[in-house]
Amino acid sequence: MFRVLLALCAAGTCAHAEPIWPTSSDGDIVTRCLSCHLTAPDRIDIVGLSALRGLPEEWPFLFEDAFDLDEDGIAGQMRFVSGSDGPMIAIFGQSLAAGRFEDFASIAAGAHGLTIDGPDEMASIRKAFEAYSPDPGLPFGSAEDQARFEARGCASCHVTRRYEYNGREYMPLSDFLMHDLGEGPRRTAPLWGCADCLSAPGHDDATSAVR
Amino acid sequence: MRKMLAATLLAAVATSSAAQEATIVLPAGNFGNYNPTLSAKEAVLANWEMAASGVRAGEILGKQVVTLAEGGAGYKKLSAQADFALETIVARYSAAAWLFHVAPNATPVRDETLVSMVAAASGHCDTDDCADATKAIRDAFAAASAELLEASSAARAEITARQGDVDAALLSEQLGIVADYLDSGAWGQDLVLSDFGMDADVMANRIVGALSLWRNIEPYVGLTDKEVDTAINTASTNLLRLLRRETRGMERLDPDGQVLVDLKAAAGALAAEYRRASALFAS
Repeated sequence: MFRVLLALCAAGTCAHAEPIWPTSSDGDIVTRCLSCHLTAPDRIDIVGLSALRGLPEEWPFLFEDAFDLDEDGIAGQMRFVSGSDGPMIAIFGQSLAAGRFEDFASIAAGAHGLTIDGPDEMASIRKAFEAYSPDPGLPFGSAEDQARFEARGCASCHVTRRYEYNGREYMPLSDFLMHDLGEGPRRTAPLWGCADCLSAPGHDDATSAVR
Repeated sequence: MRKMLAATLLAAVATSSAAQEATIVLPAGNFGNYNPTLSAKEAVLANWEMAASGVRAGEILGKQVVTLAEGGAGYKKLSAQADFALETIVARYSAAAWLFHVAPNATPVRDETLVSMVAAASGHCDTDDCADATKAIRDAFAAASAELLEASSAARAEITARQGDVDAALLSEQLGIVADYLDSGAWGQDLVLSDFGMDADVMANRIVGALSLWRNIEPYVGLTDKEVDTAINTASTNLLRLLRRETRGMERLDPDGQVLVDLKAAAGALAAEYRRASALFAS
């Protein structure tokens, strides 16, 4: 369960580590998904699913340095995955990958041994998850906080660029690229719903674990 | 109790997301059986897709500069946005150079358009009236955006044209295309942004743009011939090491210099390995 949560966290950001009630093994597919992901009566553990719809298509191209040509020690690559109309750039998942919510939900359902029975059920899952996914505000309380974050080098991957969507500004704090910090390639987790992450100790160079 | 709570929540979802419903467009696909792994054909087309999407990203960024200029933004803000856009536009357009080298129907951006855009972005205005400098940026980025759009569309047409090809033919073609491009030395020619000190950036992005195919195609080569796979990785590493070591910070490439000689040798060695890989899939 924890591994699945971790993987899903990379799609948005986990708001809480634990669900508020045990996994349901009965009910329809949406109920079963929510029973694990709801962490409060009005929110799930994945932040920013609606805002992610507005991620500009050029976003990963702004930051990719696939072969670390600038020699800052950080190579970041886009990952292409299978899509219905051809290959597409993945933005969901940590090491698992999908370009669309529907594909990622399909992967997650498979990991749980669940079956999503057709487009209507998938639409219901998407509606539920987007409705309960907290809309992230801008993450930094002040310019000084952001400057400190950038000075620590975090913004090399957790980029501090903003975008506008539906009249709101978002800063996902992710380049959505794959980086290998020693444990195989992983996508930069968006930190836009995780205030504690902004001042947390950084990645360990050797293991990529957050200490 | 749990069921009641879930039912209540679902009713709330149905209400709260009614506005969203109209905007949800369901993609096609088998929702119970999604596999993100690229097929051989998709692995090849991903390389074309990356080139086409990269050029398209440049077009989007260029248009954002135009919109900012037309919206009355101050020169300082406009200039900063132009600088930011320029970096990605030049990088991604250069990374797609292999595509324009091999696809006769894909019209590249004109040299003078690129030069005008870089010149406009490099301009300065320290006076109160920056109307001319603003107009220069606006016009240059508008022209570049229009040509990048055309180039991106032409690149996408190349993808469509390959949709019906069989996997092995596509793999062989793509590996051969990159081999020819690396061997041609075209990545070190026609460097029209020399006056702006951008030779190394352009050349490096042209080369790594061509090498990008490897990340998607390698599994298919590796499964077919491990020795060729290893040889390509070794030759790639050598070329990239040279690129970092010899060109970093270099503003202008000497066409008769040792750097170009070394890079051509390394690129040629890698091209030879790509040719071997291409032959693995030739019918």
